[in-house]
Amino acid sequence: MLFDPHIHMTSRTTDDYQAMAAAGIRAIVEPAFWLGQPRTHVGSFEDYFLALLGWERFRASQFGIRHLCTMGLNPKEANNSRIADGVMELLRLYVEKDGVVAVGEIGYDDVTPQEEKYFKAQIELAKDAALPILIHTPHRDKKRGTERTLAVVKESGIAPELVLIDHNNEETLAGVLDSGCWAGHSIYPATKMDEQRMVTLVQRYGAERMLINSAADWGVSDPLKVPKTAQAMKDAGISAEAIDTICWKNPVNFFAQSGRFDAKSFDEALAIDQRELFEGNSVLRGQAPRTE
Amino acid sequence: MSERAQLLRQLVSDSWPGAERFFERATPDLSAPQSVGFRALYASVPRRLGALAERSVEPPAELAEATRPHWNLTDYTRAALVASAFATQPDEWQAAAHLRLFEAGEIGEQVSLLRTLPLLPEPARFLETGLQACRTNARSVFEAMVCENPFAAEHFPALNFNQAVLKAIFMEVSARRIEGLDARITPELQRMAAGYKSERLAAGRTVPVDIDYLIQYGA
Repeated sequence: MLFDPHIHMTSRTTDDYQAMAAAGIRAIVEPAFWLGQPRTHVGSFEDYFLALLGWERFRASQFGIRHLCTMGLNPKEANNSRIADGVMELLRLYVEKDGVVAVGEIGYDDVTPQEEKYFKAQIELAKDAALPILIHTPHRDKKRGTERTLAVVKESGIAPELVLIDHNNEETLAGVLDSGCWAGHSIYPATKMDEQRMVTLVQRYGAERMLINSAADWGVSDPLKVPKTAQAMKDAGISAEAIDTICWKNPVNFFAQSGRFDAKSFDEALAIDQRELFEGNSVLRGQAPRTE
Repeated sequence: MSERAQLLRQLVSDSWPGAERFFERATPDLSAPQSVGFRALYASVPRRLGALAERSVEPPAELAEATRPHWNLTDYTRAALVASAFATQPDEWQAAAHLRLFEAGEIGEQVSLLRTLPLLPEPARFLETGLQACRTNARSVFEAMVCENPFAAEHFPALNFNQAVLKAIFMEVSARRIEGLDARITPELQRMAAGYKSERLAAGRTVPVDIDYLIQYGA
């Protein structure tokens, strides 16, 4: 069983869900993020949050995949002061919703004072809601941005075991692991991290507090990167136990700290019933419904 | 109407036989630039220009310094609309209206608005539009803001300017197309460039030539 702890399914098709299920993915976390371009109204965030909790969770379930999500104001859009406060107000409500397992993705993009303000405010929100946090690290000036992220986390007083720091690379991983936080890696076709480099990192740093994800979204990305990287690790002789720790146990245990689901229940397969409807809508278009 | 608005209208009229009628019919909307009417007019420019939309234009001497050769008739016509409409409105209103026009624009509208930003009086007032523009994922919008455009180097704070330079490299847009780059290369920008070089090498990847240009500048 595999877990993709960072994937933006609202941008993906049912073909992707089928392929992911066939490749062994049984659970996913969809972090709230931006849509490739900035939203111009607070209300667009609310409808997006509702889609994550409603239709997207239903779609995933139709393919036997458990769908959890994180709620947050992403760093890019935190720079728009006309909407940021309104979104923060919405988040106070949405972090309480069923199926929300963390506050995220939050953190820095351009490393502006505005980003820092909302990053810190959302750590406080997570503390109040007793939720873990999922932190995006910047692509530009990455090393410095990650160091500053760790400093903010430390200063906030949130327990490091409640913090997952994502998009690590060769230059950020050691510092993140030393901090006691969990370390995510986004395996991408061309940028961020690739399968072979990930194998090398696992050989060097082990499996403890290590996670991998596809971060698949509306850009060039691959929703099968978790199974492909698991295979690359197996081919390189990494133990089945270590692979299971990285690709299943770690994400289950990290997000189970939310108290919003029972980690043990995830050992059982999710029943599929494609006869079900969501607000009258089916994922089927004339096909025979699958039930298992 | 401001002198600049008149110059722009004249320039458009010299290239487009339908210009006079277009501006005449636009008159009521020009006095209400926040209206749907004005925004629809702004959006419709290339369609109204038809085959002339992409045509290049030779500006008069008075506009030579503030314009750039890659601007086309669509850009000039839109700039004429903005210059005419904004001239009728209070100063304190203009920055928010400009940002709204940008946010609600599709890619072509955004490109025209950003390219011609330096034509507006006291362009520093429109910094927020410039900063938001750099958050785009659309290459043509990003290029319109930072390439062959003096605005970023003249008005961006250091933090945003440095991020724009790095973003150009990430988007595979040559940083040397950023007008005024050299004068804004600082030790901090060089540190960021060196950090990116180190990260690329650690990942077993090649280093873009612009990175070495930045690191070695002034050495």
